[in-house]
Amino acid sequence: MNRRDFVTALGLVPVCGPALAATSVASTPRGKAEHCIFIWLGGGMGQIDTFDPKAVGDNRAGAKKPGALYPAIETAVPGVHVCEHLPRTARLMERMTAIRSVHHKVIDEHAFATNLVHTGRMVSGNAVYPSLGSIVAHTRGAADPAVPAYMLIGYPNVSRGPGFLGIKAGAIYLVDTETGPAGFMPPPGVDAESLARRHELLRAGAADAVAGTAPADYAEAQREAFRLAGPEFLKHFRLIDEPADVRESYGGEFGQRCLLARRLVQGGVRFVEVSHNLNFINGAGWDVHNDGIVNQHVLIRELDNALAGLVSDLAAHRLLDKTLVVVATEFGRPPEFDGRGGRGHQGTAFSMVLAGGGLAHRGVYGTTDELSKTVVDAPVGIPDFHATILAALQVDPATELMAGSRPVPVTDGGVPVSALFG
Amino acid sequence: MAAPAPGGEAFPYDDAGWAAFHAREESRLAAVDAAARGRARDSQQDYWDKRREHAARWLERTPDVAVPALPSGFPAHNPIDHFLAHKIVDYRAQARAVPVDGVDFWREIHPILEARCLECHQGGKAKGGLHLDSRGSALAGGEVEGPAIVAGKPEESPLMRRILSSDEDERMPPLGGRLAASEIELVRRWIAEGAVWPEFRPLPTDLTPPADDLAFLRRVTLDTVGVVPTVAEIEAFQADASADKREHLIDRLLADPRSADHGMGAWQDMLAENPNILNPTLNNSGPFRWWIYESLLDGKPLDLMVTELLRLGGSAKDGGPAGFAFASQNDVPLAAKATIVTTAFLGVETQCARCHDAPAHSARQEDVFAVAAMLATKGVKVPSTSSVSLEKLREGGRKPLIDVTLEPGVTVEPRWPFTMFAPESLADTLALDPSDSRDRLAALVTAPENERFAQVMANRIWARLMGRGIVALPWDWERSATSHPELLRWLGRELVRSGYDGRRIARLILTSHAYQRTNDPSLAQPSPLFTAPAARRLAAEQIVDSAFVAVGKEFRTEDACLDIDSIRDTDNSIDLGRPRRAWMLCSTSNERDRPSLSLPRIQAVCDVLGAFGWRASRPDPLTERESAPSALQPAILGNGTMGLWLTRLSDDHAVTRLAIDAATPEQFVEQLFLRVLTRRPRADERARYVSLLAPGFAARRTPPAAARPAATPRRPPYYVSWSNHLDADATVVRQAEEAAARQGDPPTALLADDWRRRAEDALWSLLNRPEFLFTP
Repeated sequence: MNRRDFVTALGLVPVCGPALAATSVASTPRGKAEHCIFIWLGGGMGQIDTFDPKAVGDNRAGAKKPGALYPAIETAVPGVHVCEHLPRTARLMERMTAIRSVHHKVIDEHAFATNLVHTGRMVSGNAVYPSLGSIVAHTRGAADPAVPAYMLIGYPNVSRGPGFLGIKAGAIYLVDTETGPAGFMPPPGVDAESLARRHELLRAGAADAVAGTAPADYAEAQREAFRLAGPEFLKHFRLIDEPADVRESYGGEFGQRCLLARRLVQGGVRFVEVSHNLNFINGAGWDVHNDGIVNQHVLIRELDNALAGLVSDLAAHRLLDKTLVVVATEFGRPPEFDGRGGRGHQGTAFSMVLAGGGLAHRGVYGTTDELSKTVVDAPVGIPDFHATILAALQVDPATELMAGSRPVPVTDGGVPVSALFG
Repeated sequence: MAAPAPGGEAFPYDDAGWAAFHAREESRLAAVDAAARGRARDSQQDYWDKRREHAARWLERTPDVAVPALPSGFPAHNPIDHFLAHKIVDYRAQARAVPVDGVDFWREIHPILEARCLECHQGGKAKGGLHLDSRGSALAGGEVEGPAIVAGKPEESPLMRRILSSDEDERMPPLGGRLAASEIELVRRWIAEGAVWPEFRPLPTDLTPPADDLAFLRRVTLDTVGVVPTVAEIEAFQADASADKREHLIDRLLADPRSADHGMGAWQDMLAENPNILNPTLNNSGPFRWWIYESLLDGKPLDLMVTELLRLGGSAKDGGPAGFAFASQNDVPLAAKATIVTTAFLGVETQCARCHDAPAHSARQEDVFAVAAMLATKGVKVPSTSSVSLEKLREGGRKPLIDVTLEPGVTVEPRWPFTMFAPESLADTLALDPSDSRDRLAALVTAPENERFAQVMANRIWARLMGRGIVALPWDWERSATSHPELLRWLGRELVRSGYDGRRIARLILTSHAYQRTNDPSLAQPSPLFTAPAARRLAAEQIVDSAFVAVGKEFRTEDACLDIDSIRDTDNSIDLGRPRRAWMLCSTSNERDRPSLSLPRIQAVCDVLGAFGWRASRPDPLTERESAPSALQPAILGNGTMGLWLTRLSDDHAVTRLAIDAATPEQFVEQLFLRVLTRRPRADERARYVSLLAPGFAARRTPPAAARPAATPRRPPYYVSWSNHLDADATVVRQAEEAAARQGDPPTALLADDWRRRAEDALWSLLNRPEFLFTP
């Protein structure tokens, strides 16, 4: 049988736009990463309470004093500090770079900012821009024919979607590590005997379609789907196969998702987005308005365990140089406290983190003022952030995608952070 | 206890009673609403009488399109068949003129033109004025060099020189690299042989015979009401012995209120209806779907419907088309709407003209903003975010392929740019209020003098029913070939004559011999001669709605609402109601990624819909959805949660009842085939399924006394809404809901387990056949 791979079966064929502008390769920073694990902290991670700590303020007094909620600690990189709730991450800081000078102007609304950070562009009524994951899937495809290029552990939405790149560049998703990818797990209550009977009945029924016609093409896609829903792909989801100490090193469900992401990357998935959305830790997740901030430290610790666990484990598997880990969020939070001691939204300066991926890490890049309200040095806009990730993943930032007949540059004029490319 | 209802009818105060009361009240209120809408329309009756009169006069003073005589040997039900037959005869004559053994233009040359040349060399803005989409224009040439091709003389043909050139400024095509050597050689030979270029590629010209009754019934039911026929409908149609049974069926279906449900998908796509149940963001519009639905239900004439739309009346959230005006977080919402209006109703593609003059179309950015200003009833400023910097483009070195003739910061006043379709002065007499630019826009778009509008609407109906437009791209006429110009004009006039009743055009098409022919199984798409239909992949909504109807399981999801206890402002949270058909679903809006904000049952259905090309978010207009097969489609349909609900024989599943009541396995199998595939099983199919289901058939029923139905405690379930979703418990409750959705309803205890599983397998195998997903 003509073995069609996951990529072509789902139509996930990498295609480069015809209009590749000629840029000198030597001048464009180019990384060595083959995969990306994109950790999404939904709600807006407060930079001043995590990767860009400043002098401690006070959110309990009647007249609140702006500042960090927690004291800072030293890290493995001299002169670089992070909040005290990131101890494991601190010890691995030489393998990471917290970009403290990220900025944008969209802070009012989560969906808008989420869309901006995922697609790198402001919303348009004329083209639905693809997410970073779809762009990577489209340009590079999967690293192994048996798996999809782009997977999502979280809820599908238009910001994570392929936009004008079409269904082919979309993600296969699962909502948590227990349930498995939608459409590829055998349905509950259907045993192996039933499965075999179903496929036998289908095979007999599909014999009539004339080759080359649409029903025959669909029947072909169907045969592929049922093969893909088999053990070769599904084995990656068996976290039970991991040693207990490895599982513990990652922590709870969020950590287990990161572990699953490592397995998927090992299996050849090019881009895995892992969302951190378990809001029953502190209710609002990272969106710590008002009382939501009370247990923010628990959330930060969970991130610490998962991120450090992931980076160490990738290193142990010799995958860290080939895997770019991104910690992204839709905006940051101001140093001032709101009425009940929480924080609002802030886009003028916030932090996102890169780890691994063969980059020349330096602990931090970019500087903010003494309250992390504004960027003082080396600003990184969202298009630059995208360009950096794409360059790390060996996607030429001058690539053009095609929305019908309209060439769309892969980033909106973004320039990769050259300091990270050594 | 009984609850008295208006009219005195009493309903028992229990679950069944409530359900009956609810159903009766819903239909009573629907009638109240319809009557109110009718009265509102009546209040405008004088104006519309005037419009009808105006249209009648226009028809009288403009020449009718002559219906050609039917060539001998061709069947016909109505003038459509005459036009099609006439063209087939004409084509046969052309085909006889093509030389044997030469380069096959359509197979070998046209793909090259299409892939490498036509992007720039067709349409109103063809580069250098050179059109390469027809032989005549290629020979006539462009502004720069004259004829591109000299037949028989490749060495004298500028096209040849250009594709061979190594001079970067001269070489064609300019982007994407030179043509392959083999392609260049083909072009050379083709020109040398005389550049033969038939109007169509070689096409079969034999007609297929009429489809049999059941294939026709399934096809026309899907094409009108969007679902497969029930067994009762099948039996009624088969029992009908009258000569014009097909016409009667068509009339019944066109009058069926479910036809409004079926029409929704195309309108939502075309108008980019894009509401959000949680905070308007990302180009959300208001929920004007209800206005679309009522318009279809009330059978509004298309000119009246479009006039209402463009007047933007009513409420953004609570009814009427005002929600169309919104596109949240868009820098110029009305410019986005202008693009929607031109593509939907005039077949003028202006998507590119939003930020610069369209590179390959005649539309200019100023035209888009002029229409936006008409919708705004005042000048609209062009922001820098809706413009392209020419300096930046020139950095690339080569001359930019686009023009920017509108400076950012300029204000564009209301102006009708499409004087080629209708003169602006027409609005002075035809508009409801000639001093209101929206009324003027509406009148100019829908006037009978604007033949483009009537033809665009007729072509859209044709494209959906016939699988291919008379104009190939219904939203972009500038880049489209027109296969039957006379038929198109005739249909346009018929639409005007009918008072812009789209159903009249639908009826003409559905009753034609051409529509009713048997599919040609070798075709992916009908040929431009329409000799035979091709199997069409059903739209996502048709697949989902039909699946529920076919198996007889209730379409049951959560309320499409994240604020069910209504603590938020309707500016931020709206309720889209309890969906009963796929079009009523929406994006689940869980950008915050909170499990407590998920809607698991809606998500399960959206997963299937999305895989088959439906869009949960519709920020931009669309006419043709993606329809290519992908392994994700059978995966999600076959293994996913919605598929499980459809194939698990629970107590409330119609097939459970069928299984219990069936007299023989043969009868059960036949019922399954009729329900799902609208046909009886073939002998080999019957044998296979009966051999699967005969064992244990006699003993399949568990005596009701022995069957222990699952006891459900009567306790109000916890609900999760925006008001409490940040509580830890909310996540737990919602995750339990997710798990319950994934598990589906428990299987019935009334059937023996082993036999039931085999029956489920049989049902699953029919529902997942490719046959289910295509028109017969």
